[in-house]
Amino acid sequence: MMLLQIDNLVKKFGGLTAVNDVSLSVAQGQIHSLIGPNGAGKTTLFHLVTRILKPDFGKITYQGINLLVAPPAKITSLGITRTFQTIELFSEMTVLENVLVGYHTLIHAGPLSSALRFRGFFAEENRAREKSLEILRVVGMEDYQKDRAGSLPLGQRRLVELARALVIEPTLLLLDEPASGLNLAETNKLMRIIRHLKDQQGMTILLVEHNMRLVMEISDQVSVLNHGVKIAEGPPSSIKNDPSVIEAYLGSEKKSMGNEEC
Amino acid sequence: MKWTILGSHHKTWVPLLLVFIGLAVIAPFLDVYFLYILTILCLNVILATGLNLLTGYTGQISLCHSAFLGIGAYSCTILMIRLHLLAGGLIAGCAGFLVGIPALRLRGLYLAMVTLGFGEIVHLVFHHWQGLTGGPLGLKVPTARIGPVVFKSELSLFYLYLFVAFIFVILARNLIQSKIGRAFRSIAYSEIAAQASGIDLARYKTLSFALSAFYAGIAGGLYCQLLKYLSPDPFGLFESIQYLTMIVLGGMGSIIGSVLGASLLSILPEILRDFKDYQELIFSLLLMLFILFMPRGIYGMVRSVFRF
Repeated sequence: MMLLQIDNLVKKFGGLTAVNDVSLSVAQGQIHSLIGPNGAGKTTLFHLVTRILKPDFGKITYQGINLLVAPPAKITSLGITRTFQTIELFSEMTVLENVLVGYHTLIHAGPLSSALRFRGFFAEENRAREKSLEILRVVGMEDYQKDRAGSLPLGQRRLVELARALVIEPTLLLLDEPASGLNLAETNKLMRIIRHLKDQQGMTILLVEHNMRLVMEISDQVSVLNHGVKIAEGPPSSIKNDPSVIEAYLGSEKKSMGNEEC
Repeated sequence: MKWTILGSHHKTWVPLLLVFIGLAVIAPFLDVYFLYILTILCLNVILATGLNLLTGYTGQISLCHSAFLGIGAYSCTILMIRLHLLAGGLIAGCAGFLVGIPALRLRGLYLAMVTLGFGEIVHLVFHHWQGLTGGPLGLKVPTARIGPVVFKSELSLFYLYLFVAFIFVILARNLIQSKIGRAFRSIAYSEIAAQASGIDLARYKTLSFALSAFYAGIAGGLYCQLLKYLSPDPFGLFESIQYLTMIVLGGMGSIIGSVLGASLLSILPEILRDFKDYQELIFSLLLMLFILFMPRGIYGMVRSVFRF
């Protein structure tokens, strides 16, 4: 059974069809990449899966259950977390606090027990802290725990956002352009972390990326979107040389450049 | 709208406890005038702390907090039951919850306008529903009592206010340094990321409104004891702006900032006694200047200067 099954998803914004009859299957324990030129509908697809947007048509099934009945805040408790293309960090909070927010759903204290500090409170806070520090160690950001998240350079901010998404040990991790703006060393580190998550923790990862080296090196399966339509799908090797994919990226330039097949 | 939220320290309760003990010790030696100012100060601290939870931490604007103060005051006086203080707080809290519902869909300017409207409506109700509130002439307020203990003297009233203020500030600090406080702040910085982390926006926004209104309601229940007659006058727009000024001045998103701002702006009107007519001007000017040039407030400045 597929972990995530997307069937015939359609999303329109006024006259623009951002996602046009897209079907996708993400197998458990795999790294599945979603590529395509800008505006292809990749982030919209993420928003649909995480229920920020409602589809106009189609089904999304996760672990056999219909995801479309879940409200957005419920997604995390189902084991799905994500990062954002634009890095949505809580800029004035510390790195540790950002990750602690990721742990939110696993802390059960309500307003009353938090205000009055009932028995379970400290145990839960300590567990949250321990887990958050552990995850920061995994991404190599432990030393920055007290720093204001907004004061960090881009590469480190991406790592903090990743840590926030990892702290509850998700089953499905959605990464939206995690390598965007990273230099070579940072990209390699990211690849190592992603591979580690798959190999050591059996995590399933759905990845939107423009960095082709990363996509080709770590993906088990690649789906290609263009103008909201899925135009190709398969292992990296088959996508690399797929003419429709090349056409989508290079567009009419290909004809004037005179290379590839005509 | 993104305010500059300071975030609280772990050792917040230490200076607060010291101030509490200090005031408790010197109170018997102060004359009635100073005691009165300090009593008002405690009241403003409760209100400012509650307002900061909403505006400072969760980033939701409210221009109607004097309305919640008034609801608390009138509820207490009208109900005249034993635990009327708590009842005032709870009724105001419910009102806050109701105001919180439109807040779910509105931001910034639009939210400000809705709260402004609510505040004005409440003020009008106080004025015109003569049967309930006694209209412009108001209601006579019964003497404060908790069980058999009657609070007649200014000193005993001060101790009551001081104690309640201290408890409520500590409770606020506890809330802030928990997942609730983190949820509030995350909503102010990025609603989309907060939601993606599993935070139910509706739940926390309405909680924030209800909580801050509850604080104002408690302050209202205390406040009516200071007045012999309760009238609609102290519960208008200008007063709401005063409370906002307190947290902007002191430091938004900071418990100590709330206490600081409330304290300073409780003392200021007394200093400006001779310039009573210019009070509105001075308060509004202060608010503008701080928002423009010192958005982190006084406590924020102190923290960035001393780097902690």
